[in-house]
Amino acid sequence: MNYQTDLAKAKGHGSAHSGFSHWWLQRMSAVLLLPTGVYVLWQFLAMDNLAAMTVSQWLQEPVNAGILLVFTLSASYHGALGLQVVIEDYVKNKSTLLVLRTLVYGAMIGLIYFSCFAVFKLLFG
Amino acid sequence: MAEFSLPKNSKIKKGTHFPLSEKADDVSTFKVYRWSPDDDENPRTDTYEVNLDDCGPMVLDALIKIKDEVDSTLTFRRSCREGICGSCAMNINGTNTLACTTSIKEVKGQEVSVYPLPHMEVVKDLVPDLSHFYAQYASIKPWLQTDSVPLPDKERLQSIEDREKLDGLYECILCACCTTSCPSYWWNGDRYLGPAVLLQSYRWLADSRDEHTGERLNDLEDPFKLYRCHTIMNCTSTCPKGLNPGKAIGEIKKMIAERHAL
Repeated sequence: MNYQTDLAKAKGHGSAHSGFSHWWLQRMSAVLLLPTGVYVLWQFLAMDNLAAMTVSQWLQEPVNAGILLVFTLSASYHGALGLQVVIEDYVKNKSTLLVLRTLVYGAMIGLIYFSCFAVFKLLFG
Repeated sequence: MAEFSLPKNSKIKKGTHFPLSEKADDVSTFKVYRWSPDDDENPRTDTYEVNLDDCGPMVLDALIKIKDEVDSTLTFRRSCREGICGSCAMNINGTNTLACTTSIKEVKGQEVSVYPLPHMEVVKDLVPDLSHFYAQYASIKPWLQTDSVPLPDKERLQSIEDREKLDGLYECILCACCTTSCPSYWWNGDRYLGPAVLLQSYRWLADSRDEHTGERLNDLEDPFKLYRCHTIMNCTSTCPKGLNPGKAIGEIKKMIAERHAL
């Protein structure tokens, strides 16, 4: 039997005094995704073909490499922030939530590492 | 995981049909959710035929007529019958609204389906348990908080412009239509305050006479209490008073952003 009052249940552990930076960075990464995404899509559609040689030549332009890097970094970060919200919304078990959140951020770090590695390798040869 | 299907004992069964005893020209059928804690039965939907020539124009009039003349066990809350108390909030043809301000003729389709507010524990029939909702409201301290000592012979003054900032906020009657229409509240209602309580929070944040804005924002800055709002906007589209809780929540987020020197 739980004799806790309704008010005590509603107050819970109080405020975490956080949440703003997550909300703000989600929006900022979305703002970065829009122009960089449109640029990358436009450039890829404009290519004669998507052969490895053509794409690596395109990537050797520092502007293209920079924009692609910003796009992949913000896409990875935005995706991780969004998935964190989805997990927190639907997963009630604390242990599962922790494991899933760690996996998501682990995947994000991996994606960022390999994106940087690939772009820099193609840029500097 | 969040539950996406009803548990076995919540599956709704077909109930009793109550036809009109005599022929009538203008008849409407009401399909009403019924559940009683006094037996071990699953919920059911009873259907009642109502002669609209002998009934008031609103859904609440029909429910009162059914209770008076057909089935006195039908249980629902009602009080003012003019959209100011919020007691008769229920789900009518899939939309959370007030039964007293919803015209039977305006409801689309031949049949009017009436269910309790969604995703709340049911006390009986159309009566949801709003204890947690009211406790969440109490938790935001919905009263004027001040530290300065007022002069005994003076009121706390407010300019006309500052008073106007409360328009669209003070009219909230806490019927819970918005909160119970919010999927975020369905999944995380234990921690997320929900649109009604957040609109009420902003009502006090926007009040020029209140001196606890900082403390109020401190209490709200939380990934669940406030930021669980994903701007789905069900709240705004369902509010029977035409208010905009989604905008009020956006204003709170803006105030917190300003506090972070943005």
